[in-house]
Amino acid sequence: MPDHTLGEFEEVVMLTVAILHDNAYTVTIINEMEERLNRKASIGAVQTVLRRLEEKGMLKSAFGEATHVRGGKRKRYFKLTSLGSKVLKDTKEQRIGLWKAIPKLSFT
Amino acid sequence: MESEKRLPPKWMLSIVKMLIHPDYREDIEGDLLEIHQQNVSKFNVQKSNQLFFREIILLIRANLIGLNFFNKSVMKKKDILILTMICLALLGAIMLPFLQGSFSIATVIVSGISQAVGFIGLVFVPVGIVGLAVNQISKFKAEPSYKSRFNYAMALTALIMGSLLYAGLNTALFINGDIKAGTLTLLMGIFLVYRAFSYLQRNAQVIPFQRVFVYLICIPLVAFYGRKVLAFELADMSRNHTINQAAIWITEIESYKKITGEYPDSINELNAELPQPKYMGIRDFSYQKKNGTYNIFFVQWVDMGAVQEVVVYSNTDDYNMKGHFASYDASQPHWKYFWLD
Repeated sequence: MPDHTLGEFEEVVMLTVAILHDNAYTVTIINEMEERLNRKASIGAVQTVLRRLEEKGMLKSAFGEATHVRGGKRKRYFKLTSLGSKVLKDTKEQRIGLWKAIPKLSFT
Repeated sequence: MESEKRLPPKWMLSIVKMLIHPDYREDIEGDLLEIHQQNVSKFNVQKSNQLFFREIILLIRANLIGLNFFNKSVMKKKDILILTMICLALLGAIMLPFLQGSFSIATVIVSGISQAVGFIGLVFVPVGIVGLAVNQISKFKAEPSYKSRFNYAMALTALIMGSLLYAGLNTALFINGDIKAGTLTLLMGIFLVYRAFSYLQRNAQVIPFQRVFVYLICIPLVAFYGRKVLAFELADMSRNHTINQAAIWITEIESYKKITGEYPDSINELNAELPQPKYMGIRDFSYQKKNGTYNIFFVQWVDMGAVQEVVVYSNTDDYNMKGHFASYDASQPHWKYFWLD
């Protein structure tokens, strides 16, 4: 059994952070998820998952620049850690393994 | 100014400042404002404000809000859920006799016991306050940089207030003549104070958080509210509704008298289908003829199931009630209710 397992929403958030690379903060993550998956998420939901993943060591965060639109408040950017990258890769391999194990007849 | 109209209302921003943990506040506020600006471009200001408020509500999560009380590191989601279930169950139990259904003495007993939690349990509220305060103070002493001096000051204040509250309750027991209970709580208080200060004397010792202190504060207070506010309001409601139901009885009895010239000896003589009270804590109506007049009455229990409330109708306002310690006029003319131990 792997040391870390990801919930579905955690996986989606981590993948979105990976896609956005250097530009991953809450607003861009929400916008990216809505655009790619047609899935709306609240700031609270995304922030909860980001904090949890950070506590688990899969993400790291740092303050970025402040903008006028944000009322002078700084953005907090998130990035995958090496542990986070490994967990994502392991999760992907598990999914692929499960798909490959499905007999051809199951979808006829 | 146009630019100010595009900002969310200040009172909503104040809620965010109050609610969110200080460590997360800056970036969450910025995220909210940025999404609000996006919405203002897409929709109108009013809808954007509605969406902003919705986002604030959805921010209420244990690991984001800044009240130490519900910080995820001290109260787990499971604990909050259990506490909420217990409080809801208590309130539900208190409400039972005032719900519609056939009479059941069990509902009165269950309600009485639940209300008693809001009486006897009050002595544990200062214990919970002191326990939480000791936990916070121990954390501050072990890690002086922990949070801030403000938290330490609040914890110390809570410790003093909790102790005074406990002393006040204890004194009230003695004044009330309850020597055994007063002595028991006094000894318990001395023991708890000794333990609390022993913990605080030890160096660099952080007391692990005990969620039981939160339960000791919340559960009795919720039961107290249920007893002092909810139960009395519901008793008024069930009494008034039952009085309205009795109007059919009065009409039939008076019709009988018009026809026969006198009131019936018993209700069976009426040959009419008469309604009975619809509440689980109220027995059937009773009819009593005496001296050319009559009474209709019913009984419900209030205040921890220990006080019997006899609600009486008399067309001549002659209630002839004894043994009660209080009486009040009911909502309808010729009705009165009496409280008996």
